[in-house]
Amino acid sequence: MHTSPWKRAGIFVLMLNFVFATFPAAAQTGLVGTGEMLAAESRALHLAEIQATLNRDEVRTQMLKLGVSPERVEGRLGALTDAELQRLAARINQMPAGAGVIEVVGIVFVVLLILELLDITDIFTGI
Amino acid sequence: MPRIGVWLAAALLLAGCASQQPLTEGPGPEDRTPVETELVSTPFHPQQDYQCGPAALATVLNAAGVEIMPEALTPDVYLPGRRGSLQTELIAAARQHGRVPYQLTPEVEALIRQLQAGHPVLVLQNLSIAALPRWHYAVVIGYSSSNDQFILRSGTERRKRMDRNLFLRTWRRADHWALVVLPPERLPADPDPERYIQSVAGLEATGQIEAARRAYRTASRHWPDASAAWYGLGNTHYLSDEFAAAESAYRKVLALDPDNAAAHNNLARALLARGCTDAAMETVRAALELTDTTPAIRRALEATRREIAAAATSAPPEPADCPSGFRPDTAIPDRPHSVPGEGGAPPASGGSR
Repeated sequence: MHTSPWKRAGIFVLMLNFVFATFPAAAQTGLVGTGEMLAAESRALHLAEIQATLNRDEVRTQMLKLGVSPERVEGRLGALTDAELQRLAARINQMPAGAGVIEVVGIVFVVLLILELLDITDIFTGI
Repeated sequence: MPRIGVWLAAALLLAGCASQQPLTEGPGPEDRTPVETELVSTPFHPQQDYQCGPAALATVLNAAGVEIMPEALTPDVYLPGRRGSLQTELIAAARQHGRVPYQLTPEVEALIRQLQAGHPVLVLQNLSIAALPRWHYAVVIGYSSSNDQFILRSGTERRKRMDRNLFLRTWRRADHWALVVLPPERLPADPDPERYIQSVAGLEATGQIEAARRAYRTASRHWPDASAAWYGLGNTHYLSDEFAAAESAYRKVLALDPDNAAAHNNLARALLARGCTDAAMETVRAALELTDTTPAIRRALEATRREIAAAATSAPPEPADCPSGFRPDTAIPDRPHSVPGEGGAPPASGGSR
């Protein structure tokens, strides 16, 4: 998703309000979490926190867009680690989504093929 | 000529489905050790439309002792806009039920070893071609080398048998993604300490403190020299307000890894929480003298020092059992069985218990 610079700036300002209030247990207690300790190159904690909040916001937006109900979205975000939020923020729409035996892309493809063979569409000319 | 493109596309699609590419995975048929294994008691949840994620996750959670139905997992893992579930969210949901999600190395031998150890394996498959993926989650419950088949709980099939080569192709097209879901007391077959502890750190980071504590204890028993296991144990004790036990675990870390600045920081926090401001301050000072500290940890240490200094001005008298100085080697055994393999750690020098 492409967020406009203004929206990003707005989010950033909002974030700053939360920085001191809404951080996970480790930040509040002053403990260094095991994951952070293990991270090969722990960057500045503070920047990482701001980044994590931006990632969380991005994933929230995407999840709502993808039809997750607003009541469930916070719970789902809370179940993810910072590293997972980062990955989802970057490519939630490209990641494999296991669907099962019925898959819409396949059906659409077959329909398109049939349409194409009946000369109703002309999508594949460029191939 | 639109039709040429269409037939080309169709031919490519069929070619992809039917291709007989040589397999690179694992030893050739003649070199394999015979394996006949099937976890027959693994439950089965036939999937509803697009719901193979919740169904497969419920299956492995059931096997790990969590009583749950797929419908209860759907709100946490299903993404309506993608008509499916992401691997990341299956992992997250397993953690939310207090289980340790452990991702396997991408080798068929690793998968078979889990089956032999009694762990069904959640896999992602791409049933179609790479360019037109059809992602599918299933649970591998068995393998028969004599039939050259894998046995799966898959979709609406309770006992789907899949030829080894076909299964391996669909699995390879999903980057060999495989996951076991474990109760915190059980390790996977052939466990890798780093991978396991990293996974438990995910439980710690997402608030599953009790499950994380139990899993760290499992890890610290199995790998008594893995300082990260003791570190995590310390953190989970601290987050459960068990500060003396946390202190003991952090001291164990420092006995194994004396220059671990993060462990100094957390030990100082535990001492501070116990009201032992002098010992806390000494610990932080010792850590600030370490040269190899990353900026982030240094910042955490500075913050800890400021808090200790603030507490020291208004502190009530220290509890009698505070350690009199900073000695990382004076590990207080919190449980008799939890300090195996003292190894080269110097003997405890008096101190206060």
